[in-house]
Amino acid sequence: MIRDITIGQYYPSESVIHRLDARVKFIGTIAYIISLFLFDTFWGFLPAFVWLTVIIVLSGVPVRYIAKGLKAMLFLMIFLILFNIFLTPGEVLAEWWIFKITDNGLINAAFMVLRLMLLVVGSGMMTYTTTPSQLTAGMESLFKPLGIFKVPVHEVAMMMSIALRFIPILLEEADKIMKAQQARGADFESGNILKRAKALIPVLVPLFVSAFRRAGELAEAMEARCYHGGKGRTKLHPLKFAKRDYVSLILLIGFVVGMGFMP
Amino acid sequence: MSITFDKVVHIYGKGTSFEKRALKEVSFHIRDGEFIGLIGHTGSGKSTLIQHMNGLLKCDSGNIYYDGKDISDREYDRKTLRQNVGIVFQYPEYQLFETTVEKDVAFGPNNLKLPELQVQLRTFEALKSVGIDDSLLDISPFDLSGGQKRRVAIAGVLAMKPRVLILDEPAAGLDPRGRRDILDMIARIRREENITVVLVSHSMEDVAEYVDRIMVMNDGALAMDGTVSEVFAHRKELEEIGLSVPQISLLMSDLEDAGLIKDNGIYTMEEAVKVLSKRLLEGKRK
Ligand SMILES: Nc1ncnc2c1ncn2[C@@H]1O[C@H](COP(=O)(O)OP(=O)(O)OP(=O)(O)O)[C@@H](O)[C@H]1O
Ligand SMILES: [Mg+2]
Repeated sequence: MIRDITIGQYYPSESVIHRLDARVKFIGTIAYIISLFLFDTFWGFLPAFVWLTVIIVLSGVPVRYIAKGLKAMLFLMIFLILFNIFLTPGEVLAEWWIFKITDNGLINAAFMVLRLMLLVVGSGMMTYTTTPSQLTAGMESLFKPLGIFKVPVHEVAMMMSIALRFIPILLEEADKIMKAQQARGADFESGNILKRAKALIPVLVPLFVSAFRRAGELAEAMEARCYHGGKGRTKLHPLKFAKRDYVSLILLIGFVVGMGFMP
Repeated sequence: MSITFDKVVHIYGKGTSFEKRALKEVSFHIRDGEFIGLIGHTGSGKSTLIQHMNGLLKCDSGNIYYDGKDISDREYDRKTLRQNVGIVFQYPEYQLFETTVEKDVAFGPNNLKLPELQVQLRTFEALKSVGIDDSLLDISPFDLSGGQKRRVAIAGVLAMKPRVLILDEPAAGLDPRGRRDILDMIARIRREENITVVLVSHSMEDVAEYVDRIMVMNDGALAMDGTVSEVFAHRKELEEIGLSVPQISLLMSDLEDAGLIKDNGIYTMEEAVKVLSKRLLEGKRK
């Protein structure tokens, strides 16, 4: 079912990682991603791997849940493997017709897939452990300095959080409408592409109508509560660094500095 | 068509932390032509249950039979099942999509690949039976009032000529007059077409007046199943699971407790008025 898509979905829990300030997690994720691209040996992944394992264990997000998110990338990974195996020059190990498998090709393929997996799982950990509203609040606070250059940071963050909030609602709605039209004999599963696209009209029209209705209602509700943009707005739950956040930040800096000493 | 559920289980989000057993071994039998009221607290599994009735959801274990035939069989024709079992979902007016009322109602029959004339005939019939005037045929369904939209949406299902009609809260969000009109309409259609009807509702008052038999859902299980008076006799149990008997029934049972009337098992205003006025006249004569 449509609802089963887990990639980037929040996994509710009370772990230390979940309670960490969204800004720390955001900076940590960025540092982690950069570290993945700094090295081109397998040893270079070791600190990132250890780091990630510690975070997964602390967060309590089940490995199965994480693996489900990786499954969505399967196609891309296969693509990456094939390209690297066959298109990297080097000492030929096996040959068949125009295809040559080289030693460098195998190493490259393994390397790229490992990097991609670390990348997806690592950035996934942030979305599994941070609610969308925390995430946008964190980003808003981090990007606030851009306001000097007239970037509407608050508005962009607000738009993002509303969009994130509405994705599951719209998915659920689409599911409902599809069922209702199926009950009237609509068929979404057979026929050629053109026919299938046409079959979606009875779903898309009500979906858009309802999205506009919801948007209108939301705008009215926000206005009724005197929303007038970011100026002078205060937060019910202001982001505040706790001890654990300082500790993690220090660990993070240690991680980054340590990386600098790597061969 | 008769419907049989045998230990039907449905689990949402199987194998995730969001796992939810929405149906727990539900079994019942509905005879052809019965008028059933399906009631239960919010989240008790009513909508989940009815979606099994036309194969929109598949059960995780158990079996469902129509006229004795298992619908999970490979040979069972799903298309015919969807045609025979019409479901009107909650707030069906949000599913309208066509440019005119007529086209929207014709969507179902068109999907059945019926000849043009047949489609038109069914469309007109369906719109007539829900009381939509011919003058509205060519206007956009989005320009109708809320109550009219709902009628058009119900007509869209009726035009499939189902043998079993299932309605999920058809009267939700309407004013008292609108509720009565819709429910009267459903009762009338059932009489005229002689079909099986399952009416899902929160409201005991609504259900009491129209249906023959009540099924009560509680937390995914079938808690009670019986005639209206049988079910309403279990006032305590109903209250425990967050439901109540109709107010008039409360009054009558209080009067009985006080020894003022004998006849209990009354749950409609009409009957109550009859009994009470009779009793008052008796009292006067004495
Ligand atoms: N698509 C879904 N995915 C996961 N859980 C669901 C889904 N649909 C319903 N549920 C859960 O299953 C349970 C039964 O839901 P259902 O919609 O059948 O209740 P209901 O009796 O129709 O309630 P209501 O009277 O509010 O319409 C609820 O706990 C609900 O949260
Ligand atoms: Mg429901």
